[in-house]
Amino acid sequence: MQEQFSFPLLTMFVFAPVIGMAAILLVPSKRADIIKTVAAAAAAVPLMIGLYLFFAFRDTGALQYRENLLWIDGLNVHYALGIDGLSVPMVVLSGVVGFLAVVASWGIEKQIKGYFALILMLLSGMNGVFCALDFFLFYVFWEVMLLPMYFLIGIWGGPNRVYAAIKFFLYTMAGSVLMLVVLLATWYWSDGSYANVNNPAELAAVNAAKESVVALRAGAFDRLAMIDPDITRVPARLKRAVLAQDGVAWAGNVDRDLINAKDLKLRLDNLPPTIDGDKHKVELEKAQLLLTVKLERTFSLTELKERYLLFTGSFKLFEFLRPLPFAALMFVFLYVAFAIKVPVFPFHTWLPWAHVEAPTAISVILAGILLKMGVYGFLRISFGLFPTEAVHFAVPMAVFGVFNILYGACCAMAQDDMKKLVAYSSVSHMGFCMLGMAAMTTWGMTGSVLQMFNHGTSTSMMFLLVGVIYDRAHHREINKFGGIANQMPVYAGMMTLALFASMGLPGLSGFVSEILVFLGSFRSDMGNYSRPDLSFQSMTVIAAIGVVLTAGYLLWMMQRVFFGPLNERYKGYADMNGREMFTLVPLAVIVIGLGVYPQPLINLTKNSVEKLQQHVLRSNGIESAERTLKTMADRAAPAAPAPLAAEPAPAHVESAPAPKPAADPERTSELEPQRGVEADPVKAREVAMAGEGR
Amino acid sequence: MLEGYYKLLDQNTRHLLLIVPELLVTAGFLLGLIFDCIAPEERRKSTAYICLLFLVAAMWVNVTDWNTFVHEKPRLELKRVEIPKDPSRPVVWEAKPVQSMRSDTLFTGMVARDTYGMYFKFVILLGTAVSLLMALNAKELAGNHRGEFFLLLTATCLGGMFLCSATNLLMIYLSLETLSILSYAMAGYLRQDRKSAEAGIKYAIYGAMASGVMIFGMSYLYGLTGSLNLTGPDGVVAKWFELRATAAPSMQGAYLAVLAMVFVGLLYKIAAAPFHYWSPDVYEGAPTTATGFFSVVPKAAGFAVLVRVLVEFFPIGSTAGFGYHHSKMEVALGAIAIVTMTLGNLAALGQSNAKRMLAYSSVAHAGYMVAGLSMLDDGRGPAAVLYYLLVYLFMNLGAFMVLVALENFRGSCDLKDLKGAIRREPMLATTLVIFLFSLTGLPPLAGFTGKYLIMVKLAERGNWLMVLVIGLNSVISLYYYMRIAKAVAIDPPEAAATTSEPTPAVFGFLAAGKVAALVLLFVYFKPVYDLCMSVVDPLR
Repeated sequence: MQEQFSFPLLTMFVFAPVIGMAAILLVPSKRADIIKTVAAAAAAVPLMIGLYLFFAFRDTGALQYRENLLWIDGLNVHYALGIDGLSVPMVVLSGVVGFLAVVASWGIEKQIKGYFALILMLLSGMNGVFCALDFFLFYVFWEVMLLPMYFLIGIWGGPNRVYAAIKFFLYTMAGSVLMLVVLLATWYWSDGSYANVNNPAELAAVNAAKESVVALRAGAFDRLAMIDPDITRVPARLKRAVLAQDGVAWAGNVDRDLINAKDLKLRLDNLPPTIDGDKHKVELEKAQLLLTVKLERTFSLTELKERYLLFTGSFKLFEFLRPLPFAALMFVFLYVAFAIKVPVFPFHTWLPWAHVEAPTAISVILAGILLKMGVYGFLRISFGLFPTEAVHFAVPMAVFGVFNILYGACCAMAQDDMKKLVAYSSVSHMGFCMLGMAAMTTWGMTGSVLQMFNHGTSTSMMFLLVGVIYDRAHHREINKFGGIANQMPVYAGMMTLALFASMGLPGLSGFVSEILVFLGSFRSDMGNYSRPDLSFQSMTVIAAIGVVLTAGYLLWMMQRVFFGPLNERYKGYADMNGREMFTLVPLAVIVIGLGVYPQPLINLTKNSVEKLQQHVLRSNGIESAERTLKTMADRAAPAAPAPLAAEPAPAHVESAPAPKPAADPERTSELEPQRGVEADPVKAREVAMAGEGR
Repeated sequence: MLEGYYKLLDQNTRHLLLIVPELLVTAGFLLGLIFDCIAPEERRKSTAYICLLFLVAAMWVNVTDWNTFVHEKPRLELKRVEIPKDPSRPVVWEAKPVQSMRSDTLFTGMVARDTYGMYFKFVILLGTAVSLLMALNAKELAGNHRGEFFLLLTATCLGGMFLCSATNLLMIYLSLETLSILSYAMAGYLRQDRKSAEAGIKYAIYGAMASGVMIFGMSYLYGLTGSLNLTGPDGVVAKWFELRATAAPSMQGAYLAVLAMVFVGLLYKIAAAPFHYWSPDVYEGAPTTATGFFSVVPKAAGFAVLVRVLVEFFPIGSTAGFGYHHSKMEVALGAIAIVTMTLGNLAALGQSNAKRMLAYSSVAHAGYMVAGLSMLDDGRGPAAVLYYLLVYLFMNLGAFMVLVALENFRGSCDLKDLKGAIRREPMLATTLVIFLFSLTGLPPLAGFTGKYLIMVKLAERGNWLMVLVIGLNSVISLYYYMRIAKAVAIDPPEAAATTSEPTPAVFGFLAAGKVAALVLLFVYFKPVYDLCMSVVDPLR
């Protein structure tokens, strides 16, 4: 267990580029070769770590490789890093695409030193976003990325670069202001001081949060006691490592806190089921015990996720204004913040500008990684912290997703500029992520994560390929090309591969994620137990039109650029050179490999996705059919030994049937049909399908 | 009677030893003045070094003074324990610590000796020292008898130092005027330049008006209460409340009006709306060094005295005085803050001169700080403002400093003249961009922390509207800060350099130091913030 902590893998992953940046700043600006080498070396570290994780990471649904240091004492801000199945695909993608983008920048001639320094800073920022487990830290990384991006587009971009850069900057900044409000608000809400303890439901929520804190600490105690029964004798380094695994705060008198928590846990666990035949007395006893526990305000995303029940009550912007429902408002704020990044209609207008004006490598990073940060934010923060709202807003989110698919596709069809076409195709493809995510089924959400990865690779390919032709022709007008295929056969082949991957041809990676999204959203039940949600079914059908449109604009573009009579101007164009091949071949290998055998990627993310889905559904009192059947199967089969480092989940997550979050009592009636699930043939069939899918 | 007089004298002389920093600055000023008169023209640069030496010495003494002050053993006072019923028993003495050790008043209540004042003195001394270095290397000041400018800076600093520890109406007025009148001279320093002359005149007229209103209010306060000391049981504040409680209802308005007049003068000094109209013109016309100085030092001093006076009337976390009306004050100051920051930022959008833009931006920053001041239910609001002022010193003075450096070879601060300056001065231009990002409030720079601390406090008070307004204002400000960044770092150069003289290395060192300070204040903001908390504490 301790071996994991001997090397701060994620810190290396995040900060290696910044170290490279510092090194570059020391190199005299005339030594372009040294600068490039240093940059590539610094970007290779995240690549290596990403590849290592791709092969070494076993997704248990728990967070791994955690690092946790107290950063700011009074505000309880932690330097907390860690990854689970949601972030690992992004970490891998970010490592690969980041490195390729640096290599693809080899041809930059203007202000080389500044360029590579900024691109490395950008890599650090985005790596940090995917690893941060502290909301504050997440926000910091999120913002850190803006500065280099502004200048990378603004200095090295195309003719309208300044407009594009400032537009990108203002949009994202506006979103992050909303995120900052959420950051502050959740911090204040996280200690339960805004919960109304006179309301039994909200008191129960506070107590549940306290119980989870006690459970976390008691779990840490147990593991420390395994090292030495007297935990005060455990060396501080080891203690920190064990605590870090749970993200337990390292401040104040740790030993006392842990011993108290262990004691309390024992007493809580040994409460009798009834006292004098009265269950309420037990509850009272429990509440009494928990009175001594003080919740601390926290930024930790894991703890905030445990405490989602505390995000109740109303939110008053100002004394004289009407209060608004807190969680819903926060979800909307976060939605806007992340939707700008994804981008979801109507916040997408910065994207075509930024893409068209940015230099090739930056477009690659923009489309390959930055857009995913939005979706990742949805999964990590919106769904984690506001699961109830996630279900409430699922249909609108899916509607926007579907609209994105169609709107992006239609816009792409109308473009003359190759880069703009690819940019709009990104808008369209990110719609699939939204749809799959909103469906809240294992398949849909897995598909969404896979789509992030696959879109990241295939779009990176497309942007790189557009860059290749742009380097030769110095324009990107689709209609001015023609017959390139004869002139540059390898290039045409690569482009065909990228286009087919993007449009989802079976055998290539795009197909897998799209089909998963469709399957997932088509049978999304959304708490409607007897049959899949009709609105999702119809949306899936409509979204499927997007596939046809995608094929339409991509093939049409291909036809205009590659086939037909050769435009004489392009005679004598060299085919791709070694460096260009070097950037494209790895992506092509990934695209084909994951198209043929997507299982490694699915395995990387499946358990975590499932866990998140359970978190979301259970918080709404919904027991998904798959889960019910699985529990039944588990109960029938002899209990398998639990994995050793199983996360100390709070009691309310694992017990079945789902204990209702007491926060919304009006949903009680919806629980009733659940008991009949076992006998439901529709569900049984779906579960069988799910079994085959894995 | 004579005995009492001697005692008083003795005490006052003793008190002189407790204002060594001020005395050092005075000595520096006087020595510099003499040197400037007798030294030949080409040696007058050394005036600045003399002043600088004394400023640094004052800073050092200030810090050591602070250290001894904080670690002073509580002074004990012998008190007789009264046992009235039984006179036969021996008199019992008891040693009791003197009540408020942290807050001493000097010169019969003229100035306070507390860590709060020392903090501000440090900020002011630091700001002045950096401004002196800027002035030393600013080309626009060369050949203009610039020895005088250095002396003006030093003397202004002295005014500011007294202002931030003044607890007497007269002392407040005197030091405020010292600060202001010298600032008028600095604003109009470039006599040949029409804009500078205009700035001087404007500053003087507006300033005279505001001081007039303030001294008018103060005279009424004195007339009403018969006291000039702010604090103490016989002080202005206590008396004012006492009298107001017994005054006729029809007089209540007059009592408030008098108070309002005093606050007008103070709000004018920090350029809060609607008393901010002077600042853009003055900031644009004044020499860039002076502008940087104005945007930091007089503002810090203004905030120091504003907080001190405000806290007397609205004690922190207590219901004494106006304490019952905290929420009304919150709304009033909140409204001022919103108007100030929004007006400042919106006006800055349309500017084409970097100096003028930063002038409006400093109005906006005053707005953020007033927002922090509006919450006096505990010390964290004012402490956040104190922290912000320190950060603001680094980032704003940093930005102005780079502007001075760029102006040296570009001749003006118009955006069109600044274009492409990064080609000539890559390091300085990069730091300018960093300062601008910090001013916007982006992590990982301390400007973010400053704003964040104010927002945290606002959020705790449930004033989410203000949180949102500050956030949106940051977005607006981003646009114009980026216009400067774009001109400097992205646009190709248009104007040719007016000189090929290399930029003095001191600019580079200072800029690097400030950037380091901004990053450090972001990563380790807690110690500094705790310090600010402890500094605000004795004001309770």
